[in-house]
Amino acid sequence: MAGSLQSASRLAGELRLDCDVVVVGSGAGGAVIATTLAEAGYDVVVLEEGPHVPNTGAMRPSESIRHTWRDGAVTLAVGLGDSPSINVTAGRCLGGSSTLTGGVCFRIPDHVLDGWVKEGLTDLTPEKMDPWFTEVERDVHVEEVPANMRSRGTELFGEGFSKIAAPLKPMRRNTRGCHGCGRCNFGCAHKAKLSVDIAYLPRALAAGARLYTGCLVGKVEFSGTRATGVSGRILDFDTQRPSRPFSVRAKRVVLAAGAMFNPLILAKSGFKNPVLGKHLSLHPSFRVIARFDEPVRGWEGAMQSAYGDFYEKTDGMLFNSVSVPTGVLAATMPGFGTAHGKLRNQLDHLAIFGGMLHDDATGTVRPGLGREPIMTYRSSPRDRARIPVLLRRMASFWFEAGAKEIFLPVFGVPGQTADSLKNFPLEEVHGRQMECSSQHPLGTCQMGVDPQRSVVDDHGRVWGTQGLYLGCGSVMPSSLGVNPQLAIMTMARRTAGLMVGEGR
Amino acid sequence: MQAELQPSNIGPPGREHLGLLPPPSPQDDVANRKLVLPPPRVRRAVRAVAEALFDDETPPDPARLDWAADDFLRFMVTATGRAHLILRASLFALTWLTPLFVFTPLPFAWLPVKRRVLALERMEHSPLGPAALAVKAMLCMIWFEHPDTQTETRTVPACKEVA
Repeated sequence: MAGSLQSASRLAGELRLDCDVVVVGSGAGGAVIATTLAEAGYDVVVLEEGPHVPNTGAMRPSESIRHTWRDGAVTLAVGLGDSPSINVTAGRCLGGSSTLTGGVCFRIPDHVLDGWVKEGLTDLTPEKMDPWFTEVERDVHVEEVPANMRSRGTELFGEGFSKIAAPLKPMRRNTRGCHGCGRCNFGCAHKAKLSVDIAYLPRALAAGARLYTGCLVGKVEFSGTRATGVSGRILDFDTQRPSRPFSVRAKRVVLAAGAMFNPLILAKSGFKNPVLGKHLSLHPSFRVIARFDEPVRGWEGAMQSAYGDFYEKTDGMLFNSVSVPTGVLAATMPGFGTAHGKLRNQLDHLAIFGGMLHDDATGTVRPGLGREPIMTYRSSPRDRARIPVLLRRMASFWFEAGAKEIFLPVFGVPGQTADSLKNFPLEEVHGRQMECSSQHPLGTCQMGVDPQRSVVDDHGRVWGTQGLYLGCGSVMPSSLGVNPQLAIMTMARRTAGLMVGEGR
Repeated sequence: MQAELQPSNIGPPGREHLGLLPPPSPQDDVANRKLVLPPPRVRRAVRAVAEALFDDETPPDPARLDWAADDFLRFMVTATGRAHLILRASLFALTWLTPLFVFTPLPFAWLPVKRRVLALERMEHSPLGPAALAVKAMLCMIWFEHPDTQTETRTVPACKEVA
């Protein structure tokens, strides 16, 4: 029996549902869990806060952002002390953040899994995780990006990176039929990116799952320590403000609302834990832009096609190809008026690359005044010291490839030549002057073996409760150092498999 | 609405028969949301910043400025969460604090364009620089989505190849 997909705001009266399992969130974690359980015969309800927006591929980037990105892309983790504030992007639509990734799929590196095993999570060895990864990679069609899909900007960065470090490696992504239009995170016009709204949710629907958009879950309902469902408010479609209440009774509850919202829902539900909302990992990311004499037209090619992990194991630095809309490139250029205009007119000569830190997970998520969380981030001394090292390395790769000048992610600073950069006091720039972004909020409800130092056990079950599971990036036991989409889907698939194994 | 799964060649291999999720009905299409736009003074502030930001050897096309200001407002009222608040706060700072960087205690929009540019550049180099970023970023993004801008700056979007 086919399921249903409905906007809750259109339903008359109060929404009250009963089911076997309610899944909160339809992103990389929630969609995988809902699909697995529905196909195993469970009666599944999926609640998504955002709308169903399947046509982002036909939208302008700024239209896609306003309709499907949380907070219109201005979510901020406030930097404390000398730490940069970090712009955190996340999805708010059916399919969640998987709809706005570049499609990058990394397995969790073996050395990260080994670290988790040392902490007691002995079922998370590379060997035991391999079947889960293999299944998810098949489900979302992970494939290598061919070299001819690299943008000219990526080729140039690769030339510099090869001379100093090693050749770039081809990225693996969940795509099929990519045309290299460089706009994966704003919606694919060809539906070539197999985000979970394409790869998983149609399966869930075919297996009978009921999907509701516009449902803002407030808290988990309990009977004693057993989770019995969730309750919240339906959002008005036009204003997106909470309106009528809804409630879902379920035998089991899965929270897959992400690292920003899972801790809020748990806290509002009365759950107490010393590490709830702590250990937020963000993979702080920095871009360095380079200007070349030759036209680059960096937007022509796969948005993310290659990466360099030469420094990942030793220094925790990963370099990822990326392209951004020309308007965003223009916004990063210093100045206004004529000064800005000179740079605006050279956008087709600019190339961009990203550098990401494998961070020490030093952020925190707390409830805010409204429904959005307050995120703070204080870089560890080790992370803070690596920022200028990362930026100087990226600059050196660009200059090695023939760049005439580079633009650092420091507000208001003009372009730097190879010579002027030597004298630029990058190590003394205050964190608040730095432009930093993150697409990977993780780890605020960590998995572990000690109920005092973690929020869920190795099955994803919330300590001290029955029938309550977490299944998204919030459970990561540490920072990953790589893009987490595949890791989130795989950990969720594993949790769903264990739930099925536990029986009804 | 009962889901109707349509046949398609889209999706993972072996699952093409499932097709895509059914599209929303017109009343559930986000493009049809009823928006309540802010008062005209906010539009004047946005347009004044855009006029300074995109001032060049020739002044920017007034019609394109109008389009950008209107679309900025649509963005502001559509985006959820704190976006509206942050953009309004950023506009407030630009309107009332930026003129102080050129020692002129007048609303930003009242300043001549060249004076606005100077004030914005000084603000960008100050600790208040990030306050201007949200508005600058969104205006730039919208501006470069205009087909005429893309033609003029040789930035018309294009794909690498046909798969």
